[in-house]
Amino acid sequence: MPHLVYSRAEERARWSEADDRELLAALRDDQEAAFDALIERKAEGLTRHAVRMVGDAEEARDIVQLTFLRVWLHRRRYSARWSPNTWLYRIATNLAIDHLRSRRGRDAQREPFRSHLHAVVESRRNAALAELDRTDVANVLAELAGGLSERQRAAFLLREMEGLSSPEVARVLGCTESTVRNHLFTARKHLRRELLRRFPEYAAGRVDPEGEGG
Amino acid sequence: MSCPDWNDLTAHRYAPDGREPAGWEAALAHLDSCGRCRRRALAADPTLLFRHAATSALPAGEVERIRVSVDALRRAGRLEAPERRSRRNRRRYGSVAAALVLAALALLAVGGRFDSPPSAPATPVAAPPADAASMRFGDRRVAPLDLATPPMVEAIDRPGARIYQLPQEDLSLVMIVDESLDV
Repeated sequence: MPHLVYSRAEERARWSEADDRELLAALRDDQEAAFDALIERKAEGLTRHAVRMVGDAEEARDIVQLTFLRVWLHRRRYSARWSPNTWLYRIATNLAIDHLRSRRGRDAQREPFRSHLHAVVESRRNAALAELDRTDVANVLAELAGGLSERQRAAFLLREMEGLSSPEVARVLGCTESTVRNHLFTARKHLRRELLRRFPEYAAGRVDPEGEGG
Repeated sequence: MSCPDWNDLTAHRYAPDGREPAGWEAALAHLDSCGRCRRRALAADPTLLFRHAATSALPAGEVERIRVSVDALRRAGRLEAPERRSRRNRRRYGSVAAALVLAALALLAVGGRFDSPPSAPATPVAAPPADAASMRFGDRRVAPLDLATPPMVEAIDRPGARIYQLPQEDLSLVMIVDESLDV
């Protein structure tokens, strides 16, 4: 029996088999179902990255939505020379950096979060370190990353958390590899120093969020 | 893989050029499955702790919410685009028209300063009473009573041409006389 009804969900399912490059190529032909499939595939990773960049889930969601909107608006500018992930992370990272810069003046508003974090850490000071969960670690990272420049933070997160290689990070940030290494060096030094100074219980090899193993 | 020397490995990460040592990725893979190495690695480089930062999954339905929001933003953009275009056109043509009017006014103002109007009317003067219509009174000619108000004559910049205005009580008569016209 012929299909007389257009089903976007069916179309989306068809595109779910395609690889990232095929999806981006299909966007050039205004294939909305391919765009849906791309969102389904990339939203989670981009949201995770955006949360780490801006430290706020709501703001991160806005950034991810804007990222996809830009992908659609600039779909004809995508060049196959780019790795799809690099292109997407470049857009999201630039939006997050812009957002962080515009938020600088409002940093005082984050003071309550800071106090809350210190209270949590203090209450757990004597607790078994193995109880410290990944969310706490994420909060500590968010707190300490506040002392990095936007680009240092982006370089560190992309390299250490997203696992991008240094050349890929350089393409995302639109700079040279040596600049990326410089950002990484500065970021690591700052984070190590501040972690030891402000959250020593998390450092010095005493923390094992996943318990003993191996 | 046997347990690597984490002090040696992580020292490379803090060298100014920030290059990671050979075998770094393999060491990280080993780290994920070796508790002893985890402690040593964190002691050597506490920032490795952040590899364990939360990577919680998105709440259920979050991806769909993002998709719907992006869809709505796209549609809003589509609706807005033609309206914005027409507004932009209106603004563009409006400013062109305003510029033309201003330019015309400026030209008139500048032109007026250097070029006095050729047909600027001269102040009309009272015409002398015509011989036939006037009456002699002593040495003087006097207009009859019904012509007590003499016509006004206005000269224009054309030789032999004049404009007569004959103001009457309920009628204003204007005559243009041009001697050069062959009728």
